[in-house]
Amino acid sequence: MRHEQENLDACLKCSVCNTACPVYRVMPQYPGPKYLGPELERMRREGIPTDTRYVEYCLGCHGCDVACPNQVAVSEMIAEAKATHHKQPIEALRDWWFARPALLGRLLTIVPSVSNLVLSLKPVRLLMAVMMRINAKRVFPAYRNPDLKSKTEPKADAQHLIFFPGCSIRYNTPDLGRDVIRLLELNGYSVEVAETDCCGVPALANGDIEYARSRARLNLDVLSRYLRAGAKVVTTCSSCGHMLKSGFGGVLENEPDKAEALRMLAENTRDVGELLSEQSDAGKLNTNFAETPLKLAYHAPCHLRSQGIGRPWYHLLGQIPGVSITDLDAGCCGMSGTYGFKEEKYGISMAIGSTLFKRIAETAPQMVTTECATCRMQIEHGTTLTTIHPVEVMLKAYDRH
Amino acid sequence: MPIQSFDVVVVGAGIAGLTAAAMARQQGFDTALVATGPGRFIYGAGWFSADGNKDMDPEALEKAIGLFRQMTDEADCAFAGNLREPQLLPTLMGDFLPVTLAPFTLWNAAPSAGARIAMVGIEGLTGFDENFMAERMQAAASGLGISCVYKARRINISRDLGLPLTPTRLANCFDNDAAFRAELAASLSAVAGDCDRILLPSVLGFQSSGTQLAQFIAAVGTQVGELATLPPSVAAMRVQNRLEHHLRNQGVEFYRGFPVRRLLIENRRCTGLEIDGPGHGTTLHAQRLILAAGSANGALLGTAEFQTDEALHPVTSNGALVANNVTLATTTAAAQHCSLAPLLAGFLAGSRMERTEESYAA
Repeated sequence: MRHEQENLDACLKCSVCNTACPVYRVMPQYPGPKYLGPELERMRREGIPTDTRYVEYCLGCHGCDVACPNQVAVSEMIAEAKATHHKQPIEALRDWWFARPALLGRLLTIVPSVSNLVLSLKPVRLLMAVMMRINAKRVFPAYRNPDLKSKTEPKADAQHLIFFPGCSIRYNTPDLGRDVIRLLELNGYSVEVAETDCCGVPALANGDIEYARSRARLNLDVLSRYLRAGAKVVTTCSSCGHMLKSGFGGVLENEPDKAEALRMLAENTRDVGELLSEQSDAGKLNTNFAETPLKLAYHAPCHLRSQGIGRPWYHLLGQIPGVSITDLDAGCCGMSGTYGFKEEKYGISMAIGSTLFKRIAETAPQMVTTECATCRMQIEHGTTLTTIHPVEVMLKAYDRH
Repeated sequence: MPIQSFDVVVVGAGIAGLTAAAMARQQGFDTALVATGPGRFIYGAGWFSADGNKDMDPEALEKAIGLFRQMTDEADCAFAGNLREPQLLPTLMGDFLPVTLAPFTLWNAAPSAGARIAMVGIEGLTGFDENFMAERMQAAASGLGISCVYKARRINISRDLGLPLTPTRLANCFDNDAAFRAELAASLSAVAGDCDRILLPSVLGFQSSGTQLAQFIAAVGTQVGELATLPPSVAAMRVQNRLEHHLRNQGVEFYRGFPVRRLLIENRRCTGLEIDGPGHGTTLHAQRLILAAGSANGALLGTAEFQTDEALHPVTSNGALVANNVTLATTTAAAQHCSLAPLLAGFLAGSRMERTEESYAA
């Protein structure tokens, strides 16, 4: 999986990507990544009009890219084709908003209590289902006052980290954001929250490549200042992490003046788990854990798998005395950010998730843990179990001490 | 570049790599497996042919098979067969091939004297014609003097699975949908008629366990054998998926989808390797490295001209040791596709992992 290469010819039509595709698994009409990616790409590059109906159904999970024995960037070809799809007016309006979670967040957190009340009213949701084609069974995440200030003073000699919180933490779960900061401080870092915008993954997923590009420029600008001063950037959302590491480079590939800043960002961005796992290997992890009897099931989000960093949290949480952790290893949850909210995709989303829900039922944990906010939403929607970020588990183990 | 540390890092997710990684983990080593895509196993039928067995050390081969049987039993994708009695199994080309070891559903497709075998096609399925296959297998069996009878039968799938209907789509549906499994079992039961065995293209799921398949066959009520499909073979992919899942559960860490940039070798000692990643790569430190990347082993070592010494360490063409903690799981270029050679190579490499002093210290 390497987008730097013009690697269309590297596709040998072996179909391994099709066997890895969650949508192909449950949607009979879906032509699959091989056809929508490298095969149609030959037509698209010649300017021959192609049917774009099905590119809309790609989750953007990168499962095909990771599965490909020849590192063809299958899903990137599909994502670019998404931008050329002509949507019906209702879908176009809905997806315009879905592409802009930061803008939505800023608006809905003006008076969060009112937003939450309105978004939870049954008649409103039924109306939204008809008017905006947003499934009424889905529960919107609650909006909270953005407050990511650390309550403690970091040590003077601490290594400085720049935290890229992402829209979910900033507007919906700032308490998780503060947990992340505290966890990092307990491990000897000082943390500063960057005044960044949305990472652009929702824009790419909703076919708005121009908006994704503008987000990339904006964030790169803010983060570059810190990077030049030698700071590292940390993410907790696996989709933000993937976007910072490689997505920015993809959407800004034709802007050579940004190449150096992009290289610095890619080189210095770490998932929090990745960072702590490296600390752990070097014997520097704060292991002041209290005995924490807890039967956990871990779900690896697709955008964590596509970062090629293994399963850092699976191993980190396994070090906490009393914690027993099982990797569910049941593929994609089917949510894929805003995908699962869409009326026409709700059924597909739940059909994909059913494999994971079944595995969770077989494992019978007390709780599920996963890095991705929308995976957590989907698991709580498809099961009755509480699903939390691994950071919360680890912090509890410190706090009980 | 971030650094992650392991006792053993294996390169390659084919049978050699999976076997070596399983052995490393079994011995308590903290193990990682690095690979781009699955290995070559999934491009074969999903079995190990008897071709080339005579060129391999029978004692080591016996042990390797024993270990593999144990591993596949634990992963609930049981194999059948043994070294001494290869069995003829039908190929996609409509002839027979002697096979040493196969998933039991493929093993069930063996012909036997006096058997009446229903060759079942599926309406709309591409790349398979039951009449042609029945005719070909009948001719092949007669040529070998096996007195079995093949009868062509066809079933319909009531639900719309899209066109073209491929084994992949059917296998996905088999995995997802209990009602589909029940319908398929009932359809097979209905066409079995006076036959004592059913053969159908391998569509019985990418994830299904041996236990689930045995239950399915019990529901059909007649013995069911699978025929290998065009690559990626469903039966082989199932084995690959189940073994990987099993190894992950055992704690093996998989770095899938990213190529190795380079091995870190200094003073005849390998400290690990660098793998690509989106954005930045990762350095994987290792006490011991096993290269099971088939024809890519040479590229990893930076030379096409290399041999192995007695301890399976790589040696350059002029006899110099490359690294004393790198073990090669290689098959000779002459090794037949689908043979037991990769299994033996993985087993031999996995057997040479005596604890190093460093790992004791750690």
